[in-house]
Amino acid sequence: MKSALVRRFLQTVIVLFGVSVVTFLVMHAAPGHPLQANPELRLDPTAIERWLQLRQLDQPLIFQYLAWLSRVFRGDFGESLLYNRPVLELMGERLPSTLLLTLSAFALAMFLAVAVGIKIATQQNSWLDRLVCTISLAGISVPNFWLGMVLVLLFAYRFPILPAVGMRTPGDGSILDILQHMLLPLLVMVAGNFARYVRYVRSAVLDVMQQDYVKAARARGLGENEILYRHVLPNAAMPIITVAALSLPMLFTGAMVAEYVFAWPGLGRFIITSTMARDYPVIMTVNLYTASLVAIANFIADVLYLLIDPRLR
Amino acid sequence: MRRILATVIIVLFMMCTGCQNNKSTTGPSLHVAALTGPLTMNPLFLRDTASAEVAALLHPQLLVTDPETLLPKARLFSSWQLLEDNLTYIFSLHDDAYWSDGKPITAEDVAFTLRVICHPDYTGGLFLPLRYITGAEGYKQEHSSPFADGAISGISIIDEKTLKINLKETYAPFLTMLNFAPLPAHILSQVEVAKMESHEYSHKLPVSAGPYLLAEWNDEYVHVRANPNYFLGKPSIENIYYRYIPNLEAQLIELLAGKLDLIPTAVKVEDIKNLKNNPEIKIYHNPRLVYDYLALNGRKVNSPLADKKVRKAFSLLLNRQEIVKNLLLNYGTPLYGPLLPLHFAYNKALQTDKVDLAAARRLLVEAGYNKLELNLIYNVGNAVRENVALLLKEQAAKIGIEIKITLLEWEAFLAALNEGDYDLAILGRGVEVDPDLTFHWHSQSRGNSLAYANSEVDQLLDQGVATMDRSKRTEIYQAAESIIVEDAPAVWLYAREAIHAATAKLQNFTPHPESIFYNVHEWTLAAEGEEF
Amino acid sequence: MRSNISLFTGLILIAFLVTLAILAPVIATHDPATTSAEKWLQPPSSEHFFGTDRLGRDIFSRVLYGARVSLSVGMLSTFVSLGIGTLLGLLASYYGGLVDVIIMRFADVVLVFPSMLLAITLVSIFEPALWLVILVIAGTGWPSIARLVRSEVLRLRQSDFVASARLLGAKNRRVVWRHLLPNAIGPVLVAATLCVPAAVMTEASLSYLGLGVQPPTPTWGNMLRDAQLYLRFAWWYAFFPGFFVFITVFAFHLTGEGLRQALGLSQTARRGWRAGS
Repeated sequence: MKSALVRRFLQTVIVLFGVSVVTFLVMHAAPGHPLQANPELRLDPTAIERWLQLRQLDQPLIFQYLAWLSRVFRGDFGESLLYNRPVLELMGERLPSTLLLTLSAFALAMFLAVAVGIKIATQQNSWLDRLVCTISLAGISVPNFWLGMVLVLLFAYRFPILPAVGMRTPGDGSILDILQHMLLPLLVMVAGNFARYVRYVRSAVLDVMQQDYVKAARARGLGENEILYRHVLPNAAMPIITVAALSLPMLFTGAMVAEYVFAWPGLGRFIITSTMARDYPVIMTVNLYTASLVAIANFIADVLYLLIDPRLR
Repeated sequence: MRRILATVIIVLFMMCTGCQNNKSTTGPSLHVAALTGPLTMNPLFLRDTASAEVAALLHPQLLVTDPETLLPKARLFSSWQLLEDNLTYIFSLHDDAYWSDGKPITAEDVAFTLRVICHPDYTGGLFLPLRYITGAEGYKQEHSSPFADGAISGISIIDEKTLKINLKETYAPFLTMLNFAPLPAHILSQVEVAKMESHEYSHKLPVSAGPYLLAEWNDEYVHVRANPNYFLGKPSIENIYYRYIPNLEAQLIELLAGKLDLIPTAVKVEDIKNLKNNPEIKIYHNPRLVYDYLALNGRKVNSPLADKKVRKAFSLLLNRQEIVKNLLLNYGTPLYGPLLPLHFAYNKALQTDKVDLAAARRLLVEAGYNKLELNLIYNVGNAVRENVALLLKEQAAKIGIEIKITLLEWEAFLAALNEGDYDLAILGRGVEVDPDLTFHWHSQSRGNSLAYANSEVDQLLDQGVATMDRSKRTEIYQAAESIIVEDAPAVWLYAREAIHAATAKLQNFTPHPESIFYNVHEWTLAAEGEEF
Repeated sequence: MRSNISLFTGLILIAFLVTLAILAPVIATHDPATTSAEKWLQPPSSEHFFGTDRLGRDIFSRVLYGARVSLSVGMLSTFVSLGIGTLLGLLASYYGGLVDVIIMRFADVVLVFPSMLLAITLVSIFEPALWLVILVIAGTGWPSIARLVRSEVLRLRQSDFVASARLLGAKNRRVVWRHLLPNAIGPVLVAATLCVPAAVMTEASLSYLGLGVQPPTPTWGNMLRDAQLYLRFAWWYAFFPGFFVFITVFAFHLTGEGLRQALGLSQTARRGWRAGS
């Protein structure tokens, strides 16, 4: 058990190192820098030269990489080339609004998925089961940006009851105001995530129900409810929690496309705009940050697996 | 688990709302839309439109130009005087101009700002016109301290509110170039110039002097509040929110829902009819200092476009009046040369539309071509240029020129332009307030992206900036323009106007071609229910 | 029973879409590139079934031609990731040891990037183009296939029939080709079927962000990108391309689900799961 964990941990570290090398090389493979990427910028060639010098962007690649890496180990992730402010500060400012949206979406989707998923698993192949399965398949298939556009058209224009974009009405920003702004992006995210989770919960529960001990319990004459709560759910919980752990990264990086469509002032949109603008320090940090989150989530999921399935030890 | 989640979500709500509590809005508010957010609040490092627009709210320009005539006008410099030698300017600062911390704005602040711009470590874009100041280039090359200290010989402080600037040679456009705002020397003189862009001043802006003061800057909007001590009087609109909404359609939806009051950037022509019928919304057109043109590149080896006759043939293909009428719905002016109608040197006589396919065909045959194949590039995302490209293709086919169209993403487009790897390109160009054509058409200029070279034009342009008399300059530039047009390095298409949509409640809104907030301190909002 | 219905419906839909794409030049009522200033943004009519766009182009015809791009991106990128994934998965499981470690760690590195982030990063750096979009999507898709192939092969290796084949003196290569691959094909086939809708969706999202296949090539994603500026007075502009993305993705999901159930594979196995973007 212990050695398996240590091995997984070392693997995670190696993967993260690989991630840093890959991002760095990829980012610097193509020529160009943020001052070029933005068509609006007013440029003065000598000033640009000096600008690159001051940021050491004229140095050889390996030097830049080592300098960057050594700063990262000291906890310094550099300054955004666009905003000229520390990357961590910029990311930190955007994290709360992302968390608000993603956590709410996650909680709501998971809650609904567990409730509905258990219900339809116990009534396998009923009309309800088929309906939910088909709807959830459709839910996975809808492009979330398209759904967002349709919702905006309906609820912000045809029936203007909700704001089209943003998180707050400037100057207001009360809880009610934020709730109103949150509704449409939340709907888009819940639609997609619920569809994914509910199918997963359903099959996790069904898997357990086909196990021998459940059959044995049934043979012993236990009531269906008792079987469900005593035997099925505790055993189906682990895979579901694992999936929750694997959703962790998404909670912290935000739903990029959904945030972009609704101009939600979170990390996801920041990631998209910085990437498009070639803001290297931000892209490096964001990639490292995201990859670390995923690696950590995988690590947690593995630990959970080791806990529930002793055969893997 | 669920309880923990719920708690976390509530706490996050508090975080998102909490920062608002002590900033509750009082007084009238105006919500202005923008496509992107600003990157900096530092007036010397403005590289993008949004930062420049917000800077116009927060900082007073030294001088401005009149929105109609584009001639220099007093602002923070309340008056100026040019001595007989045409080289020495005496500037007086506005008597009532104070920083928001109560300190007066002094000649030393301006001198300090000029030194920052001329410092070797300065990486913004304001230096080029200042190189005419005596000693500025020496300072740029030789100043060795990391701070903007020492002195530039051409800049001297006469008293607290008076500054003298000496130019090394006569430079007529100089005053129109003083369109930037000063930095507070008492806050920033101890900061290294190399670190000034990332200094906390650039994003917290503790001290400024414009019509508005920064209240909050986040990832959704910039909130500014009227400056009670603004030297031209406190603005009547207490709050302005500059909201970034990257989608134009969402901006319009919010405008129609009454959640936005002003959309400054290019309302789509398709929208205008609807908006014009809406009594709650008023449409403004604002001529801009930008034009679209077709570049004819004769620099490629064996390019048929090296022949002037072929280039001239292209200028006979497009009916610019029709383009303006059909594609711009008349929100623009057809263009036949590089000077815009706004410029004092603009030549109305050039305004003749000449579409003559037979003549174009004759020119082509005279040049020795029966058939031609050329490629045309332009960048993604501009419907009007897209249509012009298709129109040009159609017209050119009629005289035996086959055009292959390639759409490029911005960077690829830029690269192709820089390397001269194209035959034809449709693109836009921004020009200066002054009619001086040097930047784009002087053979020695870095901005001459078409590599146009004509020694006669060079001479005229040099003469143009060394002449102060306006009517003489008009003659010089019109002469230069007609030579350039005759050489046909490009086909000028149209100058497109910006279309702003604002709530009808907004009064005294006089946009400047370069800044919507030109007279923001004079704007007012009619009260609800009032006749307007 | 139900699985057969999904499989059947899914396959019919796919066949229908593929036919539309192949026969686009025949079915299309207009040239997808012909513009017309007089016909801006016309609602659906008997002449323009799906209306016209901001340049007066026929949306019906553009959707058909868009199907070609979207389906080829979806299928080609799936083939590429299937090819790379199967090859590397086989290599890793076959040779084991250092080869296995290197390949699988590399797969891990790719897997820890959310695919959308990786795609955005890659595409924004290089010039967006059709082949690049295909490669990028394939580049983010192969590791899951490689993992799957590797674990299937390892599982089958232990199984009785491979052992008996070996006992009968079959060569290693023959074991792989004749015994391992055919048995591993079921799960891989399901994974591949589910790769296509993911690819179609990624392409649409990238094009929507302006990072995918570039205009004037019509794709559903860049049609949606154009359409978002005309939402209020041209619902048809955004509706039809979006609907086709939906139907395509739905059809492949149905097929994949149907296959999965027909082959009796479980969904809870951790491998298919990836955090959404």
